[in-house]
Amino acid sequence: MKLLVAFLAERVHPDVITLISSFGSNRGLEPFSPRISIIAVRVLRNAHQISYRHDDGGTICRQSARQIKSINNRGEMPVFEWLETTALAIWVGESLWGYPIVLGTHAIGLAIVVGIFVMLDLCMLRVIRGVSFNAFLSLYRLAWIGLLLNVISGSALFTSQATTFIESAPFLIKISAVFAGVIVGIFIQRRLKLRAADWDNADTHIESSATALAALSLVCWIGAIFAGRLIAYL
Amino acid sequence: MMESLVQAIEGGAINTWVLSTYWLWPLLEIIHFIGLSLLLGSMLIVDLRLAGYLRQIDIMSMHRLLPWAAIGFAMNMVSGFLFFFGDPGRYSINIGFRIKMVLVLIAGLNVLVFALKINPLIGNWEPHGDTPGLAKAIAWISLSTWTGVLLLGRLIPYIGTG
Repeated sequence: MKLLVAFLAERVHPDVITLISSFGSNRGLEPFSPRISIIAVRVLRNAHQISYRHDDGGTICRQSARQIKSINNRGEMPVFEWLETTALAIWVGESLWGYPIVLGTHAIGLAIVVGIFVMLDLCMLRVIRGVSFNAFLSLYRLAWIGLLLNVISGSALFTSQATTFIESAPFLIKISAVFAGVIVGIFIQRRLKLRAADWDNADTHIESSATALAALSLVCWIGAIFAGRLIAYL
Repeated sequence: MMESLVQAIEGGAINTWVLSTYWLWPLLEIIHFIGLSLLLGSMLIVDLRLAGYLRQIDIMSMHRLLPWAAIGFAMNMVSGFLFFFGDPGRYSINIGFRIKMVLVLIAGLNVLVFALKINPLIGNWEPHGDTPGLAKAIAWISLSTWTGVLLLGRLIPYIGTG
């Protein structure tokens, strides 16, 4: 870390250096895991923008977007850079509680959405038997609330590091998988409304088009978790 | 006690394996997240029914969901142990991790109360009816402890150490 700061000191604006060296201490945050604690430190010198990536999927610290703006006062900014300067992004990226609150919400939403959809998929695939499909019509409401939580918290997380995320392949795969999972979920919900009562009869065959949807849904959600976890590593 | 545990782990075979296998940590995270989805997804449905909601579900069919909670828990226990063995020094002094483990313990005791006091009686209940007060209490304790475990787990890297 000290080497890094020394390296930067020769090349970057002094205000930026002060800012980086205060990152760990003022937020009480330290790289946690044993492996590469800071995976990438990108110094886009022209923009004087510095982003840190921590191995736990998130931002640890990022240069104050306000400062980027003041340093790089050259008129219009591209949209993703602009996003990083919004009040929301600054709250998420820099306030003491912003990031933990948003990340915690995202975890709860994940458990609700993926938890309910995976259980439904397993029921439709008849891996789990005997749980009422009718109940899943009620659970769908909860799943959509979970999704709403995650769209909101996910958008907030995105703004805090928009320029990094938009170039991250695992992130783009994750978003695609979530999007596909939601579409498949809507199709399953429509099917469930028509067929839940029939399927609850244990002897009724669940048509293969419905089990195919369930399998697809499972792939989407597991895929989203897979890609989501890899954002921090690739 | 903690210090000696940490010393015993550090430099050992598992510790070395976790630290030196670059793909292992991300893989463990993926397993941990899939496990939590299985655990919390199945517990959410079981607890809601046990709390008296979702009465379309036959109370006996909870037994079909519980194995999935066990599978999720087992996945997370194995991956969690490897996390701990990979970085015992950090985890052992992390307050978030410590509270999380206490909550897991409470959740475990809660399951024990369920198994001893509730499970033997379920067969006598109205399959689609309301549930007794003790069952509701167990359900809400379960929901809140697992939510706490989830939150603290996710925030371990951001909560102060010690």
